[in-house]
Amino acid sequence: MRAAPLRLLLPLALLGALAGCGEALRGAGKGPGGADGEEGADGGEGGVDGADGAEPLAPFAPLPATLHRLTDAQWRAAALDLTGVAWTGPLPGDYALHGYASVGAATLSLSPLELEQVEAAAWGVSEAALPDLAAVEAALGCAPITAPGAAPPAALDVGCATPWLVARATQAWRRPLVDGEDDALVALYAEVGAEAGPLLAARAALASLLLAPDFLFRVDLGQPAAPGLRRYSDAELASRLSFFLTDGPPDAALAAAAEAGALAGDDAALLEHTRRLLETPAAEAALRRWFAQTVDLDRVDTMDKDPTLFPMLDDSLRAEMKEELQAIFADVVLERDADLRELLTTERTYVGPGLAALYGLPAGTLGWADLPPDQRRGGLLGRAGLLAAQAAADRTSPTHRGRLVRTRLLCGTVPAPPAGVVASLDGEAADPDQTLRERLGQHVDDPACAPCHTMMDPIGFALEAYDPIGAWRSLDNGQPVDDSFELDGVPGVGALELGAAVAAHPDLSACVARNLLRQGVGFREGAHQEVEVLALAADLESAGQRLRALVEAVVLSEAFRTASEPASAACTEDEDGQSRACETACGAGVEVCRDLWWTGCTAPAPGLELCDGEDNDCDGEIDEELVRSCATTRGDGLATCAEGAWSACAGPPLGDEACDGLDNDEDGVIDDVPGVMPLTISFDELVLGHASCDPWTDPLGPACYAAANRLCAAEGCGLVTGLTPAGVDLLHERVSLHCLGPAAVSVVSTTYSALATQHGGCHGGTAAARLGPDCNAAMSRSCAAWGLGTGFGPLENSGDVAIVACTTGAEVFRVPYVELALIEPGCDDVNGERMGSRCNYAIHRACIDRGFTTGHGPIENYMGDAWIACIGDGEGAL
Amino acid sequence: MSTTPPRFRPLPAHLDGPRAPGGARPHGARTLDRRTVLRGMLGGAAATIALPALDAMLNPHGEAWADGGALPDRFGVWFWGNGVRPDRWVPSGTTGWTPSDALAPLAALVPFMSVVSGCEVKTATHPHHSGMTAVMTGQRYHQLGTTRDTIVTTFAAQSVDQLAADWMTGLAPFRSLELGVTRFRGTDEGSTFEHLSHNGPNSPNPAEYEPSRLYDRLFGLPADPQRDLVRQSVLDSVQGQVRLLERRVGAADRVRLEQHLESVRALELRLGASAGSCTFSDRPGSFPDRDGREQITERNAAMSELLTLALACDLSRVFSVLFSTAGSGAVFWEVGATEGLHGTCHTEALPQPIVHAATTQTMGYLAHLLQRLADTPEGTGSVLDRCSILCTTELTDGYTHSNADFPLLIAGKGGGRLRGGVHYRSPSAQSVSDAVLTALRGAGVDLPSFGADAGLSSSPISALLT
Repeated sequence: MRAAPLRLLLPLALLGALAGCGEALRGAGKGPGGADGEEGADGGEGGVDGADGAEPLAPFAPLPATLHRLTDAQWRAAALDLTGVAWTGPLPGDYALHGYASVGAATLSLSPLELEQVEAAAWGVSEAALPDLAAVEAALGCAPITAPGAAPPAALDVGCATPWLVARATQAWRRPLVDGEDDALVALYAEVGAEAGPLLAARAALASLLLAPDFLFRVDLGQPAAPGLRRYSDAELASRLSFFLTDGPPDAALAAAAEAGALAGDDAALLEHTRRLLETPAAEAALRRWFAQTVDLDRVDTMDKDPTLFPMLDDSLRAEMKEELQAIFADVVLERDADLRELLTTERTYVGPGLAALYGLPAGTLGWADLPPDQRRGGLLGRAGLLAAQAAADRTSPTHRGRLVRTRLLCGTVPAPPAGVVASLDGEAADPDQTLRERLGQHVDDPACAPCHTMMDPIGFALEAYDPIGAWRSLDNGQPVDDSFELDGVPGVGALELGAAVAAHPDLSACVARNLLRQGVGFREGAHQEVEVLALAADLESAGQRLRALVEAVVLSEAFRTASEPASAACTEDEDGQSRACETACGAGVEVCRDLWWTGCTAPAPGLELCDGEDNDCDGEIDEELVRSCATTRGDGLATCAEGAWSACAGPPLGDEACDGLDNDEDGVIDDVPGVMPLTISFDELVLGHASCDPWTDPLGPACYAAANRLCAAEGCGLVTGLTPAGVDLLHERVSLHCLGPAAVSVVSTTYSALATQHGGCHGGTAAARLGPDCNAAMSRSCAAWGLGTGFGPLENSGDVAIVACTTGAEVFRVPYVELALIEPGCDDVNGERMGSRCNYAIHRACIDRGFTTGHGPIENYMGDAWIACIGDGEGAL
Repeated sequence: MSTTPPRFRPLPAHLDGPRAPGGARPHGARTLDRRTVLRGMLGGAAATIALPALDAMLNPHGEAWADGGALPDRFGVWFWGNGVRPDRWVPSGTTGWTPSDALAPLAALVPFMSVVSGCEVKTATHPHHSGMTAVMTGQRYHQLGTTRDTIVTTFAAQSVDQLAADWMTGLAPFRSLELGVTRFRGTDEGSTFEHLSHNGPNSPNPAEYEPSRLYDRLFGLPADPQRDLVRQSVLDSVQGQVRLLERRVGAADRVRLEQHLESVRALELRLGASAGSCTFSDRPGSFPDRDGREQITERNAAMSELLTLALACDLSRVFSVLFSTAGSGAVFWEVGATEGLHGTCHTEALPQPIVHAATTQTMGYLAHLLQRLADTPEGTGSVLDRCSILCTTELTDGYTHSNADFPLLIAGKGGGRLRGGVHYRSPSAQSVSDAVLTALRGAGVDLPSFGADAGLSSSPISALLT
């Protein structure tokens, strides 16, 4: 880089032959590295004849592997691909660096504000994708809650969600999951689900995928292939290819090819996918964005124009200005894949009413038309969009217009103005009747201005016949316009001839290649990629200047398919080729500045700490903080590492046996739950047991009682039924109840006809009768008659049939209602009721007071006393 | 009207227990009812007008909160582009300075402001880039390579507002606020021009330009403890993922991922906070160009209002306002300009009346914000009394591109640390970093030095400090 500006200061380079200027400008992308620098410094003589071979280029080296943050368009496309939701809300802005947002994306992190925006977007997408529980169930393909009846957290069927979570994560992160990642994701789902149910859990999981660095960044870091060289894997190459061509993640076909391993080593396959993707609308949109950035087209949206001079410039005219240029690009490059130099010479236009008027076309001209013949327009450079965007609010700017040609189309470097430069054009002898062109003559006369401005102004003069919004004019400041120009020795007049001169310029091909390579690799090319740029330019020329051929050449290039080691920090051009000490936690080494990055530190890199008795991550501790998950009969546990060996698996502490497929009490039998198993169920789950159960208003009513019974039975492990919920927690919206297993209860099918023989008041005629005290007594007496202790019910009814639960291990107590009323006022045979929620609770408490777990009743009533049945853990009193 | 103090309050402990077993469920009509009650308890009614600290909540001296906490110290930067007309900028007098033409809009605020003149940028190599990084980082820019038409740079270090944000971290829900007024019209010259606040190279903190979006960010969403717990869980999982990824990338990318983690932590801090009592009723509209003209006055007023409320409510201790970027092309239609200011600086004949008018107009916009801060009571004084605001630009003179006799203002009384009303004229062409360090000290940010290399300063301007 140092050489080029120096050479441009030479009068010969400024005024000399075309070849000399071209060579000087072609050198713009080169950075002298090490020995090259010296050659570059005196390379002026050799360069004049334009023989590139005379000046050896630095050997090719790939750019460092790095993280690329998704651009705005890429984030939206990836979220759409993952969830089907087209997010239209705010996202962090793109950062165009060296012309392209893709280059800026290789340097960006996320600021706090941007992280907020991304988080809001992640939740927004996630909520739109999963609007309700039905959507979750549809996404999962199974019911997110286990067979109704399980207690939280087991109520959430994590197993149902796991395949969905893993599949979505694999898609979102564009790679297979590694050990532990699926566990972490499932754990998040289970954790949120236990607290907040499956809907929020699924949303949270989806949001976490969208917020993960593997989604926000393209983590294509390559696989080590040789010292200092990495080669992108199939999956990484698919990601690079897809984001380059379509600004979105790989589609199914590309992902399948990557998974089959048929990409990285197969040029034909890579080409086939490139050609296929180029036919997609997404690729068209991506190339349009590349074109817009190349010619700085979006400036049309924000350019200021004096409204008193240009009242016709409204939003629709701005839109027409952009669309004309995009239409020309789409026609030449995307539709016809023609010689792209046609962009610089075409005399076709695409107009709306505003632009037609601006160009002086006949009223009613719309869509494709021929440009008016007398305005010397033609090619991109004579179009209002570019002319207006590169002009000031109330005057033209040959400097800005020329700069666009010099820097964007020919990739020339214009040095920055020096500090303290006086920037005014108005010297003491300012003549009020001068044209702008005449005033700008000062730029060439003043030795402080000339080196830079002679690279721009003489080009921009070609466009002086177009006013600040691109309309034709023949006068400037009352004087005739002079729109003659000179481009590196080639003279001409007007936009059309300037376009032809640019089309014939020897730097054009390399500049197009350079611009596309930047988009493709997301880096500004350095000295060690210059050889690749020139090779791509040659490919473009030999393919008849067709852009698609260049896209294919970029994809097949080493610059696209390989990387060097990740960089340690950015360096400057002044430091190019220098070495400096570097260190890692594991030792000291040396790294070099190459292509603006300090790379290749020779110090050993810290590794992942392994359980091997070594300090792999060089933090001074051996095998520290290493844990891994493992399984015991009591459930999942953790093993820790010490002195290179894993400890025995430490599972959960000994506990009461639960119905969970584990041997919680480690008695050698899995799920040998006691006869009475407490269970806490949330209201939301309780309602799943019986449609009429409304625990928010009647948690202890018959419908919720039936729900509890069914949920107990659904629990498995031989559990048969439940007792009326013993407690209700309105604050946390849950009930505690007791499920009864075979050790505590026998279920007997009988009939109301038979029950009536035990107590005449018990018959199946009305629901009230079936649930009343007479039936209670009848069932209790029946159980006793069958030798099964006492009992309660009915659990279910079907016609005359009643299902009765006999509690064989129950112990019956005679308890005065006075005692029950003290426990729960209202359970009172005089002023209150003997059946119902209050007595259920009072009996439950009375049994606890007697050393049991719970109980039911009243099974008999007599003389102000209730007979209650108390149940322990299946073995009588505790 | 709520009497809840408009201050940052952590959530009550009973809402803060993350994921306690058997926690409440967020859906079902009853849950919503309860949440509504909670919101009422935490935040007051949605239409509450933001109030400055009420006397009842202060100690008898009006200098601190009744619970013993100190009133907030605040640091801000207010930046405008393209410099000034130097011949009409420097005020006369020293103590109780008399405003120059350009400073006339600030006349009523003289007791609250000091002017520093006669300093210069010690690290100047580029007309615009150098001054921008000098005032914000005290050192040269980091050059990303020469390409195409001009240089491409970013900040070489954390910007001064972020130094202050580090110092004050955790004291308010928003680590810092970044606001913009006139839009960015520049080219891809790197982040130096486009962004004022930086966490480091290529790590800008973009400004919010849309008042309605800033409003939503500050006041829009009521606290939702249940949802915030779940958001917290997601952020926890993200942090784990970032740490895993950090092991696979190079050192340069690790720096980026560390910033990512910093940003996650900044958001977590907010999740635990409720700004509910500072809701105010009018959500500002947006300010699209009207007849091709940027609505600078309107957007500046809306942004100044939001910033004043945010500071009065103690939502943040640190802010930066990018009124216009370095080399800004903002068009000052209201003073008769017909093109962008940067162009006018280059093309207008001396004595550049339009450039001067634009500078004066810009000081009027600054005065609008400062007056709002001065009019908002806090304790026995005003919000402005407890601010230290560095107001500056990227060069002295857009015509000559000079960096000598640099325009610098320090507004606010810094909670008594800053004298105010002083015009300090450097006898020895001191570094602008001395003034920046003074502004930091004014906010109680007692860093030993500011800047690096030729821009290093460890000597604040004592004449401005009490």
